[in-house]
Order: sequence, then structure tokens, then C-alpha cells
Amino acid sequence: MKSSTSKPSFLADSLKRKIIFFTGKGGVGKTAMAWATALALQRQKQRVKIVSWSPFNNPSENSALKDFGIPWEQLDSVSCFKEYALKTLKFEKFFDAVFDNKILKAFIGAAPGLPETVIAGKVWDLFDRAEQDTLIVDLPATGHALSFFKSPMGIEKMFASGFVHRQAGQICDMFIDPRARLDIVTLPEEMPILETQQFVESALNLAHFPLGFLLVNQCTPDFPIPNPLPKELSREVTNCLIDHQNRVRRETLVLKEASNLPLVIKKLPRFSTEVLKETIERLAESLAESLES
Amino acid sequence: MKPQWKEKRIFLIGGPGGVGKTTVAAALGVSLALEGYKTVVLTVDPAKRLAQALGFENFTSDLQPVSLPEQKETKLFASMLDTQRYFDKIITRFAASERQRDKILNNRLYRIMVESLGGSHEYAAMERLLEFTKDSSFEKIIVDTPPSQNALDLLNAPQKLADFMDNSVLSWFQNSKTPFSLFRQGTRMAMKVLEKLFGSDFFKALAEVMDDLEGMHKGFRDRNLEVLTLLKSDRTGFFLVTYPSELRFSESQHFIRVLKEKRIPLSGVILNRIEPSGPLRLPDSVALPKNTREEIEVVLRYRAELVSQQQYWLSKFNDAAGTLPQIRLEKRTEDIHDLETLSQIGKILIS
Repeated sequence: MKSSTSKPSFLADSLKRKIIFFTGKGGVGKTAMAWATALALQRQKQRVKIVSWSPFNNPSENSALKDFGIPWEQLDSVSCFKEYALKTLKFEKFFDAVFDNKILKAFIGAAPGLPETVIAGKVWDLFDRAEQDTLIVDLPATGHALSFFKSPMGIEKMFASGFVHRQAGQICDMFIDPRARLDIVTLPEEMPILETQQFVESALNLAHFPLGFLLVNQCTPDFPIPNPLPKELSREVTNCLIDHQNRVRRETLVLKEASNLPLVIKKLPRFSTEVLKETIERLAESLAESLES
Repeated sequence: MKPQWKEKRIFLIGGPGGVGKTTVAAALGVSLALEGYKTVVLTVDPAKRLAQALGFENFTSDLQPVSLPEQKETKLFASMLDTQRYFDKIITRFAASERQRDKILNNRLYRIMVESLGGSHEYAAMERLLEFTKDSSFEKIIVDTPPSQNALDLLNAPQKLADFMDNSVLSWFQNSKTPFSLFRQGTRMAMKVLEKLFGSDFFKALAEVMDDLEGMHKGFRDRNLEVLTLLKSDRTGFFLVTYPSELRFSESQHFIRVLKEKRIPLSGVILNRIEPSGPLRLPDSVALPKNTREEIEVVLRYRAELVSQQQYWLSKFNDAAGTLPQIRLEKRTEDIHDLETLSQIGKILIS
């Protein structure tokens, strides 16, 4: 997304996209942000679907998420591969005998670039379907997300034939489709910002991705604080206020490092809740606010 | 890790991403070195300022001495992991001949494989750990486990690789060696499908690597057993670093369950980034303009709410952890970037 004079609103922009990818460092709240975006769009009467992929088939998804009533699918490479092979080759008869064994599972799980390509193929298959307005893709942490984007590109370049080669080209087209967007979730802390910078650099070396928003999760709310602080306050209260102010200052400083990135920065507050469902609901409200901070 | 850190030699610091594993590992390293133990901290990709504190700033050698104040003899070492180099080393070790080694190292697919093979960081970390354990001069070895979605990848990595390198998987690619004709037929058919899907080039190159890796499976399998033995040893401690929230709580429960299944004992839980609590109320007796009072109360309410939410999840952790030792570390406003702060945290960890 080009940094124009006026910042685009997150919600308005999201309404125009057919597919939005989310990635970021581990532990920054990618899944919460993907769900919150889906929820914000659903509240606008959009038909949304979420797919998530964890290379380790980690069932970390919280069951409370089902309450939102958003169609959700966890992708795993073995079943996606099976689905793909059945569909493209009409090869049903011997499938289970041939494919449902530990050898194939080991192979699909670990062969270079294969799980990523298979997952990307499935995402491509779901992309631009009439039954949904927006597809939200919850990708794993930045390193794996990069191999997700890289693998089909590598396969397209390196191998000159095969179904996958032909489809890899289409998958790559989807990544840079103007109706696609790639958002990065981060925290106002040194490490996640550094990882964001590295990811953006590597991603742009790969292709001209439609980079969207840098969603800075868990920012300390910048409440107005009396200046100077009244002398009547106890030491504990004074310390708490100063500590709060310091957090805001520190985060602003860290975020300066990200200001040159070709992403629109949107700050999301740290809510005082540590319950996932509530966090997602409140994030969805903040994401829908048109004023960008 | 109160009574335990003296007996332990290997400290595996694990947990979900973004909970401060690297800081905990570095702090523990500093404090153990200050206790006089020759200590090495093995880390992947530390934060810039933490790297400065540990002497990684002008990182040149694999094993970096870190000089601590008031210490004549260097006791602390830091080691940063380079996955690619470690994989090359592993291949070199397991290859039967120089020819086999070169063939693999020069294979274009091998390069992609190391980059994209799930768990390659984890595997390399375990390899490096095994290497350090063989150097008896190191009295304490601390592993800051690689950041990953699932904190258990580290434990699964050697097994996963050993499975992949398993003889039966490799021989699948050489169908002539498969004894059962029915299976061979299935194999041939599967090969045909894969070839159709991925093109004959891709498939040939892949079969080539698999062929080259033949004979190396024993090395990988032995290594996996060695790692498992090491993980279950009394002198190894697994420490879970986490944070008191709903998401981290359910992740941690899963983590503890899997460790139990694998019969790897958990030595302690470190709850990080705890909001400092205090009497966060503004007494009515303090006379303030209405506006000022309201502003202050908004901040205090927010902070008090954070504290009470965390306390709720802390009590859940308490119930779940049972008799496991727990250590709580306060949230710090600043990023940690000096040895002094690291040793302060370390003192809490081993006191």
C-alpha cells in the first residue's frame, strides 16, 4: 500500500479485499488479530472465512472462538495434499492404500517446500470463491510465512513441468493480486519490530507484495496525565503514573524504527483483559474505528 | 528453580514466543557464571541490546567469552546458532564418504531443505547442545530454545528428522528394494502421481537427495536416542517460561501434558512480565481538581484491572502447577540491555 497523504481506514480497506494474510513474530497476537478482523468484517455483513495453518498442526485454537460463528478451517498439509491429488488427478481408487501410510506422511511433512506449496495451493483454491467476500489467512510466524510465499515461487522457477508448476504460477499471482493484502502484526517492543523489518525486507526481495497494515498490538493507552503531577499524591500512585508514562514514551521510541516501512501503522491498545474472546471483541471494535492513530 | 539449579547441568528454557525466554536464559547464565560455574548460553537470534550485553555485538566466533565485572577468569560464554552451518556439519559427520558429503552439500534441493525443513532450527539447537555436553569443562549449559509456534518442536525435531531419514522412507524411493510386489505396485503408482504433480525434474532431484542420504539414517536415529536420553537425565531441567493470560495458560497446560507423555520432567515454571501490584487507589482525602482526579483515576483503574486479570490467571497457574517450583518476574518498562539488570533477574531465578 502506498503511503498517500491521508491514511486509509483499516476497515474500509479491508472491505475491498478478497484475501488478507496475517503474519508476525510468535506471541504477538496474530490469531487474535485475524479473528478480530474477521469479526469486524462480519459485523459489516460481510461473508468471511478464516483459514489457519500451523506447520506443526498445533491445536492451539481456543474453543471459545467457535462462538463467533465465523467459518473456520485449520489446514494441514497431508489432508490438503490428498484433497488436491484427488481433485486434479481423479485418482481415487488406490488413494488410501498408496497415500495413507507413514512414509507419505513423513514425506509430505518434511519434503522441501512441499507442505507450504500444498497449503498455498489450498488457499488459492479457496481464494475468490463466490461463497465468501473475504478470506482471512492466519499464517504462522514470519520465518514460516516466508517459506509459505517462497515455496510456490521456487517450484515455479526451478521445475519446468507438472501440475504444480502450472498452478504455482497462479498461486504466485494470487500473492500479488491487487485484491490481496498482507498485514503484519507486531508489538511495540524491540524484537518484534526488528523481526518485522527483516520480514519486510525479505518479502519485498521475493515479490512486490501488496503490503497493508502494520498492526501494533498491545500498545499502552496514552491516557492524558496531569503535568506536573500533583504533590499531594502518594509515592505509589506517583510511581504508577510515571511508569505508565514511561511505557508510552518507550513504545513511541521503539515504533519510530518502524516508521520507514512501507506499511500503514495502526496502533491497537493493550486491553486490561487477558481473556481471548473478550480481547478479540474489543480488538474488532478498535479495528473498525476509522481514525488511525 | 530454587533448590534445583545446583544439581542441574543442562537448562532448557522453553515456552511460547514473546514471553522473554532469551532474557531468562541470559539472566540465568550471568548469575550462574557469577556463582563461579563455567557456563555457556546457547541462543538463537537475540535482541539487539541483549546481544550487546552478551558481547554479540561484533560477533565473530562461534563461542564468545563474556567478561563479567569483578571476574578475573572468564566464566560465561555465549554461543549463537547458525542453522545452515550446523546442518552442513551434521551431514559431514554422518556421511559415509567425502563423495557422499559433497554430493549432498552441493545439491540444490538440500539447500532449500535446510531452509524450509520444519524444525531445522530445533534440530540444530539439539545438535549443538549434544556437542557442548561432551565438553566436560562446561559446568552449566543453558539453551534458549528457538522461537516457534509450538514450544514442543524442540523435543519433536530429532524424532521428526529421524522418521524422515528412516530407512523405510528412503527405500520407498528405490522401489526395486521393496520386497512386496503389491506394495511396489502401490509405490510405483504413488511415484507416478507425484511425478505428475511436481514434474519429473523435481521428482528426480528429490529422489537423488533421498538416495544420497541413504545409509545416514542410522546416524540420525542414534542421535535421536542420544537426545532423548539427555532430555530425561536427572541433570537436565526443563523450564517453562510463560505469561499469565488465558491463551498462554491453555498453551502451557498442553505443554505440561505433552512433557508428561514423553516422560520428560518439568523442573519449574517461570511466570514473566507480572504487573507490579500496589494499592492503586486514589484516597478520597487527597484534594484535587475534578479533572485532574478523573485523569489519574483512569490510569489507576486501568492498571488495577491489568493486575487483577493477571492475578486470576496466576491463581489458575498455581492450581495447575501443583508442587512445581514457580518463579515470578516483574514486568520491566525498559528492554533489558545491561549485565547489571541481567544479574539482578538471575539472582531472583537462583535465590
